Formats: sequence, structure tokens, C-alpha cells
Amino acid sequence: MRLPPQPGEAIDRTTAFTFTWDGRSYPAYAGDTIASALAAAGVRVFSRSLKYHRPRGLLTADFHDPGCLVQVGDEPNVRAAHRRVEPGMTVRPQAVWPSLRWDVKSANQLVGKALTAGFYYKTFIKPRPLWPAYERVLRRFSPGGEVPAEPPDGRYDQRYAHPDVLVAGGGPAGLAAALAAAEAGLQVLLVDEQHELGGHLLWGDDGDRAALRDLRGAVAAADGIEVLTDAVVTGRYDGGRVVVLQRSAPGVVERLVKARPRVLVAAPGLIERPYVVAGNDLPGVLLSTAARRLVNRYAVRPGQRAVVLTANNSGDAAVGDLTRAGVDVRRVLDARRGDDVVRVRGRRGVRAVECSDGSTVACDLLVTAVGWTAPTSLLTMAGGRSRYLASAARFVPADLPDDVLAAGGIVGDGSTADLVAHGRAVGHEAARRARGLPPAHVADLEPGPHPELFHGRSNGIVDLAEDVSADDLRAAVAEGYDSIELVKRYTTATMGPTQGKLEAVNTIAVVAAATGRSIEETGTTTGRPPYVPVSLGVLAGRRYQPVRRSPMHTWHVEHGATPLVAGAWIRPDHYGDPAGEVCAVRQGVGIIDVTPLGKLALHGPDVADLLELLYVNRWRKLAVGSVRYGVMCTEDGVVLDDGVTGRLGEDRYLMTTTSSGATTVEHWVERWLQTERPHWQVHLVPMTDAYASINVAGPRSRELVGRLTDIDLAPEAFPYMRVRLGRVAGVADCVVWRIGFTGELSFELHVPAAFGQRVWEALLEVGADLGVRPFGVEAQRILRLEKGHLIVGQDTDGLTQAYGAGLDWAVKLDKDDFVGKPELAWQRARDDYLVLVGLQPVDPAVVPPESCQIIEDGQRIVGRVTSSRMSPTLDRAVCLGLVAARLSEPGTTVTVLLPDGRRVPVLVMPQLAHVDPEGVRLRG
Amino acid sequence: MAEPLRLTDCTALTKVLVRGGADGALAAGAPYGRARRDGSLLVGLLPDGWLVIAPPGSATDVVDRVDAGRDGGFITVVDVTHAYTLVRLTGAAAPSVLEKVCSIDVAEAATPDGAVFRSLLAGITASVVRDDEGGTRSYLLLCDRSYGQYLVDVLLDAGAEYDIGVHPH
Repeated sequence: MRLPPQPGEAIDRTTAFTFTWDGRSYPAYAGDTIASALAAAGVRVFSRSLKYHRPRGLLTADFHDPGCLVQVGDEPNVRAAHRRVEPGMTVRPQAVWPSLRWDVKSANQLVGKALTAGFYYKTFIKPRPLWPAYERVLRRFSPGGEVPAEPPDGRYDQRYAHPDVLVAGGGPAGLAAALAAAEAGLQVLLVDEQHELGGHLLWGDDGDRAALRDLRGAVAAADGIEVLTDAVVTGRYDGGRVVVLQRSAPGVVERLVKARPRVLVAAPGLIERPYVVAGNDLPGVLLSTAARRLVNRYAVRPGQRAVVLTANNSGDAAVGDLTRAGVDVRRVLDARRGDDVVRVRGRRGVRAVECSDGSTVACDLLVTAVGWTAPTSLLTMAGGRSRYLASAARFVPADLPDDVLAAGGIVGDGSTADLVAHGRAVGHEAARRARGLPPAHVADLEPGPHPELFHGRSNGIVDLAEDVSADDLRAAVAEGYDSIELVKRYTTATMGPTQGKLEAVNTIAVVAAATGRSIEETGTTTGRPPYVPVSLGVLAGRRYQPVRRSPMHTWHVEHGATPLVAGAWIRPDHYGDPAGEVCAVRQGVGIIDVTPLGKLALHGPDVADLLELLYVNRWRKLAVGSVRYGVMCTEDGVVLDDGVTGRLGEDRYLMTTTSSGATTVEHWVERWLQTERPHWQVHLVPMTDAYASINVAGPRSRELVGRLTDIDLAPEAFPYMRVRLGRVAGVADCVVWRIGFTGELSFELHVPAAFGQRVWEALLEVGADLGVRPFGVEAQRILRLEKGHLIVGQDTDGLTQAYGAGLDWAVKLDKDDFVGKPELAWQRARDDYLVLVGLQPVDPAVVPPESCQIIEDGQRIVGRVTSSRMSPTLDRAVCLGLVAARLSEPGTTVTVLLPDGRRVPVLVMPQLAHVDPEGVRLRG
Repeated sequence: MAEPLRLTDCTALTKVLVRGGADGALAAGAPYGRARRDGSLLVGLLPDGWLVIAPPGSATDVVDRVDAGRDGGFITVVDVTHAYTLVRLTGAAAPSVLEKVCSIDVAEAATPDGAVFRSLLAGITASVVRDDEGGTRSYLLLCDRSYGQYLVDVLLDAGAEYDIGVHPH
């Protein structure tokens, strides 16, 4: 029933619309929650309980309400008592069949005794083979909504924040703390769970609303306060990081704010506790705060005839609000005078309340105000503790770390003015601490006296989210689970969506009574992040998948290249015909984009010493304009990377690395320069991205490049393994190398990156009559395999030392020193390692997949195939492989085990190269 | 009215990297983590490294100028114009966009005008130079050239909430 306008109502009566619930249309106002609109229309049942499928309605009428999880469109598990309803919204009950009113699974109530604590473990443990069948059946009883098959619309976002002070909670104390910190000149992030700031003042009386107006006005006017409403602090982590889940961020579904405040102020107020008594989960049983929210915020009369059980001011105020709303308050039971509720009667809702004086009062509403829980879990996540205060019947914070403070109701009780004063004092202290001043004591707000009221004389539901009753807890204790942590895990109490906020203290109280211990002795369960359920979408946030593109990337895309993801680089794998691309290179000329090749500029008088140290071969006599292939090993002799380095000037060198090893080598060189040889005069400048790199390969490459450059390319002027500087296609400052990974005559052009595509297109244009065509990574892999050039990381692994990689010719053990020398000297004296060899299957049509094992005596592994392809040049399969040294003699036949189980003979070749082992083509 | 958010491609600007000479004039002009504008922009990028950002096509002039000012110590001067993508993010909402992609505090107190830092931006290493324009928040963002398009895409996505616009240099 909708009431006439209320002074503090959240709804906007000028904006009315409809939405659907369970297939029927309902009216609503802007500002209504789903649940308030339905309650105004007389709906009382919103869901069925987890285990017994008992009807459930409103209890807390806020974010934590356990009986109001619904499906909104494709979104499951929406909190109907918090989510604001929107025009046209489609809302459905969850996990009921065939309907919310007639739910077949409510038959579980008939076998309730069998579904007591731990029944899963007892019932379905044997016989084990039947578990899959049990699982299928149990899955039909799983709670929750339907997860959509497709990702939901909208974005999930993340951001970072660095406030000086983060205030969790926007009630009077939180607002005052934020204001005090901001007045001290600090940046404040103020976070509140509700849609509006104000905490309990929102549903309070005229005085509360006046105080709230003042506080909100001051916050709005203050500099340095960022307000996040409909947001909740989900956890405090190591290093002081505080994570906030913001639900109503503009433009996104949800946003995760990763904040690193200097000081955290927890001002969450208090959470009202339900009363554990038979029938306490019936629709129509409301907390006093829920009743006051419904009346004062949403102008909803929650029932017709009420009984109120009160032990505090909130219950007293609820009596006043209900009376004013026209509810017939038929009995007020004052727990402070010993009054009590024995049992609540009803099936689909409250019908009557049995009172401790023996009377039964017919009613449709029971409002309880039996105590408060201080939500201390954020404080315990931060390293603080909580201690039980029997006189106040609640836990209170204790022993907080210096960078965490608590303010307001979580600490103690008082009037609005008291809470504001405490908040201001805490805010001032937070500002001091944020400035690095030593902590000073803030006078605590004293918790007021309150009777200990947790459970009545009959068996009620303790955890309404998990359907765990007081008798379930007692049964667990009787079975020997006397630790609160064990009871929690055995019964699942406090493990549902409410995560203990409503039920933890009642659980502890029931277990304490059952074990004969005090609540303090029983202790608490451990509060861990997240404080509230968090969607997977917001944890994922934006998907950052960095990709690197060469200056010719657009050309590759426009010309149909099949992309290959190589590390972060997007490279052209092929342009439709890798074998044809190989033939073009062998017979004419091709060009390939090799921009990802690592390039490091080295400058200084000590570069030669650096190269001598880091490469296994010699470098001191490298002349200006010359190039040398080098192999780097780590201290244990394992091959780290390879590449060519050219000497561009007296003390200027350009080092190239493998594409995947560029960053590793850069860091490796810097490490040696900075930590081992800091006295050397060498500077390293990464230049990988400064150049677009194009390899022009094939017997006609000289002719092609010659058409575009003023550099003399004649063999005698520019022989193999030389480097020159000059113009290419009119572009100055190009570096031209005569090297060749493909085994063909080739020139590698390093062009200032902005001109990469211009040079690429010029090569294709002027070489059209030569039949030039682009080739991709796949063709390059075939070409290099035909030539027997190894790829570090593919033909070697984390154990392959230089001799094992067939690099004997490069290792100069007679050098004074180089990285890895002692280990390589030791390796040379041994023969117990795998050696890289060229391999050719006896059957030329069989291409053993890479990583096939080489076996001996039927099953013993003695090596593996590291690279394999069908060679278009030789029209046969060619491979590289690592084999035991004793099997590496040329002419040895080894056996390769194929994935289909076949064993095929493979011949060890005299050298790694299958094509042009003499290097005639390369040096042409 | 708050200055609208805009992204400008400044990649064509000359960029010259100077390594070494940590005791020299460059260090005095722009210590590590600070930038100073004096015709060109001198950025203290590394403990012993500076980036000079100057008008397009002025690399030779910059190199000559640095060479002329060297005090005889060992330094390296390299034209790295082509090595990096450089974009400018300007507008009142620029810090909010950076907060989405970077964990560094971009508040006035932590990173005032002229501050320089190197960090991860949406998963890639980048350098950030706070270089306000006429009192409006403005940041130069420098990353490896090959990541340039990725960075621009990320910034446009993060800035969509603030109506980010792309402006020519």
C-alpha cells in the first residue's frame, strides 16, 4: 500500500511508469527500488529459500536483504531491495519451478529433518561412482539466477585513486569525518553503499533530516571530497590498497576503484540483527530499520496489523512510524522489560505471533528491534581486531593499525550530534596521520547498554541466505564441530551472499550456548574480502591486450595477410601461399617485414669489450662496416640469444637480436653495464621501433635494391656480412645489411620507421618486373630451416648450451673471459648432452610434427624434433632435432615416434643445412 | 566551462635522446623526473638520460646544440624521433582518463606541472610528462612506436566517457 507523500521520501511521484514482475505489470515511481514498488503493490513474496524453498519476503529492505535476490532481464542475483526500478524493467523470481507461488521444491520442507547440517557429506558420500548422478540432480536445486549465454551489454571498468583519506560510510559520522579531513586541505574519497548520502538519517525524523541537509550541503560545498554513492568498499588489502565497487558509475555497468589512501576511516554504522525464533523467515517479519525505510523513504505501508518486539530506540521509533502510517500496532513487546516472541505463525506470510505471556496476536507484520552488529570485517582485513562487549551485546573494534580509524556507530552510540562530533574528531586525526604526524588518541564513542537478544525459545533460521537453523548449528556442535570456524564450514552458516552481516553474531551466540562457552570465548569467524559479492565482469575490467604493429601493418592487412601473433607483435604469417612465397625467394626475389627484430644502438669506446664479454665469439677485430654473427649465453652456458652486430662507426655499433629476445637482451646488456662493468663507457639505446626493417631476399635482390639506393651493392664493394649507411627510395639515414637468414643473397634494410611503408611499396613497385612478392613468417621459417639456421627458443630450450646447439665453431674458449665460459669449458669435456642436428626422414613425404620424440629401443626418449617442414625447394621433409650426442654422427638412422604411434626412420645429416650447405647462394 | 578533452598525435615532433653527462647542464636544466620548457622541451627521462622534444625536422639542430654544449664528458646523442609515438592528452578530464590506465597518482600534489614519470599505461611501458597548456591539464605520453596505435585506441576508449576528441597536431 502506497502512503501519501512522506517528508523524507526518495520517490519522485511526478515520474510514474510500469515494469513487470513474474509476468505481470506493476506501477512504480522513479526512486523506487524493485522491492519497494512491489511492496507498495502488495507483493510480499520475492523468492524461495535456498534449501527448504520456503517463501521469503523483505527483511532488511536494503542492499543486504537475503530474501530479495531476483533476475532482471539477463542479469541474475540482483538485489531487489537496493536496485532502483526502471521503466520497462523485466524482473523474475529465481530458481523456482513451476512458479514462485507453487514451487515444487518446497517439498523439501517435508523432509527437513533429513536436510540438516552436513547432509551433503552424509548422504552423497557413498557410493562414490554415483556422485556424477547426484551432482546432476543437486544442480537442479542450486540457487541463483540464470547466467546469460552471451556476455552482457555494457562495460565493466576499473580506475585507480590516490586519496589522502578514504571514508567508508556516508552516514553522519562518515560525512563529518570527510568534511574534517577536507577542511584540513586533504583529498577525500567518500564511499557509501546507498544511493544517497546520509545513512540512517535518511529515514529518520525531522531533526535527522535537518542535520542531514546541513551535512550534505557542506560536503557539496567542500573542496577535495569525491563522493561515490551506490558504491561499497569490498576489501582492504596488503599495502593499504582499498578496493571500491561502484555500481552507478556513468557509462559503465560497474567500476572497480583501486584506491591507495594514506588513511582509511571506517564509518559503516551498524547493521540491525534479526531475531532467531520459529517462523522468523516468514514474509512479514521485518527489522525495525526496514519498516522505517519502507515508510519514510518509499512511502510504503508494510502491513495492516503489527506486533513490534523492541529492545531499543529504533524499535520505539518504528512503532511511531507504523502508527503514523496507519498500521494497527496491536502489541508492543518490550524486550527491556522481559517481553519476548515465542513463535511466528503462518505459511505464506505472518498470520499471528505467539507472545511470551501466552497470548497469540493475529497480525500480518512482526517488526523486531533486538540489537546491532558492528560490521568490523573491513577493520579486521586491515589487521585490526574486534572484541565482544556484553553490555552492548555487540562486537566493537579494537587494536586498529595506525593508518585505519573507525568513526561513529561502529565504535559506539550517541545522538546525531554525538556521531557528528566523533566523525569530526576522527576526520581531524585522519588528516594528521595522512600528513605523517604521530597518532594521537581520539576519544571513543561509548557503546550504550543493550540486552543480549540473539535467539528465542524456539528453533528459527539463523542464516536466512543459507537456510541454516539454530538446530542445525546445535547438531553440528553435537557432532563435535565445536570451533566456530568448523561450524561455519560444516553448516555453511555465514557463507551465503550476506557473508555474516546479519547472521554472524547470532551464529556465534547459538554455538556459544551449545558449547557452554561465552561469546568472547567462542570468537568470530574471519572476515575476508570481498565484503559483498563482486561480479566477475568488474574484476576483469577492461581487457588490455597490448599489441605491436609495424609501420607496414596496414599494408599487410589490406593485402590479405594472415596474421600471426608473435609475442605482442602482429605479423603477416603468409599471403595465401607460403610454399609459393618460398619459391619466389629461391628463384627471384621476395621481401619480408622483419621490423620486430631487436635493434640496440651501442655507443662508446668500450663496446668491443662489452661484445667480447657477452658473446661467445671474438669481436675485437671487427672493422668499421663489418658485421658478425654472435651467440650470447647465460652464466650457465645456456644459449640466451643470437643475432648479428654491425660496426657503423669507430665507436658506434648496431646490435640485432631475435624478435622475441629484444627486451631480454636489452635488460641483459644493461645489467652487465650497470652492475658488473659500471666503469665501461658504453651507452645502450633501444632502436627496435626506430626502424622499419625489410629483408630483401633472393638471387635478384641485389638488382632490386640497386634500383632504389645510391649505395654500391657490387659484391666486391658490399660483400657478405657487411653493413652500409645510405639512402633507400629517397629516404636518408637507412642502414643496409648484407646478411641472410633465408640462405639466399639478401639485403636487410633498416629504414626510419615513418618511411617504412613508403620503402616497402617502392620495392614492390620497382621490382614488379623481377617478380618480387612479399613473403611472411611461415615462408621465412621454411627458408631458414632449409638453410639449417636455428631459432633460439625453438631449436634450443632452457637447458641447451652452446655446444649442444651446434655452435662449436663460434665458441672461443681461448678468449680471456666471456659470460658462460667455465660452464662451456665443462660441457666441451662431456658428451652427455643433446646435440642439434639436421634430420631427413627416410620417407621424404613424412613430416614429423615438431616436438615428436626421437626414441631408442622402442620407447626410451633420446631426443626430439625441434623444427620440421616440407621443403618446397627439395620437395621432401626436412627437420632439425636435438639428439643424444652418441647418435649425432652423420648417417646415423634414428627413430621418430609420430603422434599416431607410427615409428619412422630418420637420417642424421652431415650438417644443419639442407639447401646450399656450402653457402654459395648466400655469398652470391 | 571545463576545457574539453582532446588527444593530439605529436609523433612527428623531433625527439633526441641524450645519455650520460649526469653532472652537466642538462641535469641542471631538468633533473630526473622533471621537464623544463625552453623553446624545446627538455625531459629528465632517466637518471642519466634526457629527451629533447623539439619541432619537426629539427633533429640536426638539436644534436648540434647538445654537442656544442657538452663539457667533454662521455655522452651519447641519438635521434630517436622514429622510435616513439608521442601523443598529447589535454583537458580537465585528462587526469581521470589516466587514472583508468595508470596506477600512478596524477593529482596535483604528486605530479605537478613539469613532472615526469615512467610507468605501465594499460599494460605497456610509457613515459608521462605533465606539460600544461595555458593553465589546462595536459600530458605528453611517450611509448614505443609499435604500441602507438594500441595506446591511442585505449585512450580513446577510456576517454569516451568524457567525450574525448582527436585533434590534428
